[in-house]
Amino acid sequence: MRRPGLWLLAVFALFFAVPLQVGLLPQVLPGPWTPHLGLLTVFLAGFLYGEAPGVALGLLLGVLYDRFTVGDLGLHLLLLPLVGAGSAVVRRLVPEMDLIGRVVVLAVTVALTEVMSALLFDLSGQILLDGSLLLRQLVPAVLTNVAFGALLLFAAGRPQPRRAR
Amino acid sequence: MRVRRRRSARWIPAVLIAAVGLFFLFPQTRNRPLSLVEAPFVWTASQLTRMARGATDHMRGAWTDYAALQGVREELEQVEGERDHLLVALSRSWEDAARADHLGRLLQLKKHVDRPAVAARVLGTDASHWFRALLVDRGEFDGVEPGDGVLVPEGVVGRVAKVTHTTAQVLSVHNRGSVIPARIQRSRHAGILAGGVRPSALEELTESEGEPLPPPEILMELKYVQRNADVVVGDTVVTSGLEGRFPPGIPVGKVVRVVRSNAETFLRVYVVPVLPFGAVEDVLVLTGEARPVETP
Repeated sequence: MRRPGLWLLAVFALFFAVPLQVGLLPQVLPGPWTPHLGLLTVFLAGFLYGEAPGVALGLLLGVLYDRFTVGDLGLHLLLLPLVGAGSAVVRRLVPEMDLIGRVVVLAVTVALTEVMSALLFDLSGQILLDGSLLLRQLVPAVLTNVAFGALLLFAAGRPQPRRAR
Repeated sequence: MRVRRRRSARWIPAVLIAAVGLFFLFPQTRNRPLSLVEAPFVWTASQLTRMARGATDHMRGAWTDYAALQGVREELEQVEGERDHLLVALSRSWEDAARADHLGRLLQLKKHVDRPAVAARVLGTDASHWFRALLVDRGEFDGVEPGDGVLVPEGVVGRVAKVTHTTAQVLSVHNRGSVIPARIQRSRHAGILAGGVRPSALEELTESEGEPLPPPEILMELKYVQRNADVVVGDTVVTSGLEGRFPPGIPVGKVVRVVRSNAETFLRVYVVPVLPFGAVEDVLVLTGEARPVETP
């Protein structure tokens, strides 16, 4: 297990993810075309390093993201640990997965997270959800996150096989 | 006899060469008829000399030009560097001028509003793309509270939704849940401007006649406007000041569609914000109620 990479992810999550998400990315990319750095970080942590790092980073980033969202729901605190745990479980179930497989898993994760977010915000009365809005928000979000995530997964390389306990 | 002839034959060329040499050594002999013999040698030598001098001059010129070119290149690089520096400085000064102009107008607005206000700088947007919200650098320590109105000189931005000690999140007027008492500026008909349009209303709206609609997520509805009210597309919607969080007469939006139905008591007036989301840099947060009017 490459712990330096995990520490790098943790430092990024703690110090850079939210400032970049809130301050820099909206300046250069419009609305839903901004990658969800928190989601990508947690996905990578879970996928590459297992459940515990994924859930821990999910909790940390969930708190930070909810702090900088007007929604009152605690949505990120709920969803991001699930993403971390889910990606780790998928990785455990399918240990030998090529890049395309990992990207597909990432795309499904992003789409599910976005749909869950939209439904929960709609149920809590914070947004008015309809099919066209969902599509207009969902498609760019999935495409952007998959593109960024694929780059990160490619940069991370092939995950090291886990040692049998 | 044969040996003597051979010796005399050896001396003949030597004597001739010596004679020619002596002939050329004495200047007074040059203008003599023998100069005809000298001319081809002189001409050839002069041409060779001229060619050699030309080649030398050419090489010297090329070297001088090359050295000068080195200087010119350095000078060009220096001039280009200075030009880039000046362009950056010019752009910065334009930016400063635009910002100063904007801050000046914000200051004028602050003087004209009838309640305490603090200027705030926009730090970023919401972490979730499902909300249109801004993060500003003023919070509880500056007297900012949830529900406070947020303005720019061009009009209303929104309301404070969440506050920390040092920051606040401002929900844009066109988000669902945003409600502002407003009126049509021209005809003075009042209503409630609500962010978000119901999906069913949106379907009816897209089927109705009129100019192409803007994206539905920025549409607002001015509710409770009487059916016979004088409202037309292009009317400006301003705050009415009834609620107390916003002073009256601040622009909020423009009417883009009016739907009249005999079956309904009220008009359906659809409005878009005057400000494009994301074009805001500095805002004024209204931190209190209106000051009482001083009577003489």
